[in-house]
Amino acid sequence: MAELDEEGSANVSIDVTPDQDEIVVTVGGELDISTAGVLEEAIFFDGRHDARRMVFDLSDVDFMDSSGIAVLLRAAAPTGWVEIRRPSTVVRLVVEATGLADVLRISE
Amino acid sequence: MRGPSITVPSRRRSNVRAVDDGSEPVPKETARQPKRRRRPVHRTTLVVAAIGLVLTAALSYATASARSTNEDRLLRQRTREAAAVLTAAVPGVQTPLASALQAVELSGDQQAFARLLAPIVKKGTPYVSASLWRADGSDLTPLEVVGPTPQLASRSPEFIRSYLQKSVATTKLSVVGLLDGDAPRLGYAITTTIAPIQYVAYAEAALPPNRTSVVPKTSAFTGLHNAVYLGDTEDTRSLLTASTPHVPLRGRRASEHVDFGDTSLLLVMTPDGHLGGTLLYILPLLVIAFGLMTTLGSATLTEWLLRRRAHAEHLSDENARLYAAQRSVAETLQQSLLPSRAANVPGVVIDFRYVPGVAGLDIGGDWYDAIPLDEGRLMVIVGDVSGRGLGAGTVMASLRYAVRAFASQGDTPTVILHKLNALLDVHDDGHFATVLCAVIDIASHSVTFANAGHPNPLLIEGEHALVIETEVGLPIGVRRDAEYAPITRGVAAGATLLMFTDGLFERRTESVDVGLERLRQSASGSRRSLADTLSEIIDVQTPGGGDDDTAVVGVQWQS
Repeated sequence: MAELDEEGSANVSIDVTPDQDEIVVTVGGELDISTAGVLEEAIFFDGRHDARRMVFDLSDVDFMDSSGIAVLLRAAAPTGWVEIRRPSTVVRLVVEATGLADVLRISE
Repeated sequence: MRGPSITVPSRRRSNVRAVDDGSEPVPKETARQPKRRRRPVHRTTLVVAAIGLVLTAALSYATASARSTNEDRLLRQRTREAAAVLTAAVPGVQTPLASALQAVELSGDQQAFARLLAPIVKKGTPYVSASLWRADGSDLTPLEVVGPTPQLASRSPEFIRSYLQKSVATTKLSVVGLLDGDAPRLGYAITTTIAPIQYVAYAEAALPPNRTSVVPKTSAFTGLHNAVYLGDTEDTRSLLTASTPHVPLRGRRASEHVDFGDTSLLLVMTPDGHLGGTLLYILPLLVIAFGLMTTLGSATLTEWLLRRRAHAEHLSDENARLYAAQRSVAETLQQSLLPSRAANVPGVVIDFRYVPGVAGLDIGGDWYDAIPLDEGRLMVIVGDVSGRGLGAGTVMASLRYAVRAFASQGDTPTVILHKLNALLDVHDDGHFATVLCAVIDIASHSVTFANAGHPNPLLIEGEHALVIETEVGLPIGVRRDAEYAPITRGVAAGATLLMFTDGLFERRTESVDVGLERLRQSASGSRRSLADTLSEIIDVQTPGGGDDDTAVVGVQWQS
């Protein structure tokens, strides 16, 4: 479990919970160009990114832009897709509009 | 392009450094050196210093004045005490002589005078000589003499008579006066009133040599110089005794009158040193020293703060300038990567708009292009590379020129998207891109679209604007096996096609549905020129500049 709140990332909260066969990443706030780096650091820099599937809980995300999507897409690399659990409407619309439903798979 | 895991964070950090570290040292070196040499002191500092000096002067004056008042008060008090001591001493002078005279008066025995006064005269104080005189009309003769012959006896009879006559006229102790000589004397006399024979008791007291007496340490006169005069005036000739040879006393002084027989004594005193103590004496000096130090300190502090502020303002200006310069560099780079003017294609009008995001210092990843093809066809492209900065700009530029190359080879939109997808990989490059590619057959009024995750285009026919639903495939760079399907549709005469990036309708504070509907509404309405339509849409959708970069391309059929 890690709580990251660095400078320049006041608008985002990130919580990474490694589980038996999946890693649950809970994100809240705004996932944009200024905060995407923090999420990327949380996922990739701590050596957590292994063969386990990544699950993103984006129920509290208020805004997401292409920089945020780019981080999610990179997290999908090992298996070709990641699970987006309980996406907020904002996230759902962005995923659908960009034709990414097959890579960023939405689950309730 | 950089390796995967490190790309985004390191770029993010370098952005921060560019603003914080990069801007600070530059003004430090360039600004401080020339300025420090001859910077005049600020006027505010001078005002502070002046106020400090005035306050110091006023405070030290007040302190000195208070000290002086205090010294005066103490001196008056001490003089009154000394006068009280003198007053208390008067009976000691008067009583023995009066008692002896009374004894003679009552008993008629002249010997009693000598018996009573002999021990006192022998002691030398208060008298060194006492004598009993008989006043018979104007004839004055000594009856009894105790101790040495009075000096008075050596004077002429006229002198003696006028001298003693004073006492005959009064019943009080008569201070008959000073007798000058080698050993100056003070003469007193008392005259009987009730006896048939009028006696005059006369005594002489010795004055100290040079009339200077040493003041006992413990007496009321300690710490003071005093001078005692006979009578009311400070006349050196009537000086009885003084604690210093320097008479009359000068400087700060106080005086008191003490009744002494039929006359009085004048006591004049002056402080020998400082009555209020040394600390009180140097207090004004301490106030001046402290005031000057405080003034210097506050003036220095004021000057320091003013200079600090000036420096901070300078840094702030410098930062603003650097910010503007960096933004201008980003805009220049962006402009150079985008087509400067629309191609001239018969049958259609082409126009575009690019609005940089307000928050952005960096180059954006939005691009557009209009490429004339053969056989009266036109390719229009709008794309959006994820992220911002040099990385996104580089990806954008390479995609744009790749599209031009593929288009010149006659590739269809679907093929172009496939080929672009092979050029980019979000896992390696950190960026992906959404692209909408359209080939327009101008004469036949038909358009073929291929879409890689990009917002759908808008078509304005008559007064109505509608979204053209395309086959939205995966964005470029997400997956190798992405598939794209073309969709072709016809358009009406005079129709306008709008292709744009999400900055045109996305706002952080609202759902994209709302923004998209507002865009559709602002595009609808009576027919306008393409330039007017684009300007109006930009004004409505991104008032004062949007959050994100915005690119729009419009193609309007002329018939």
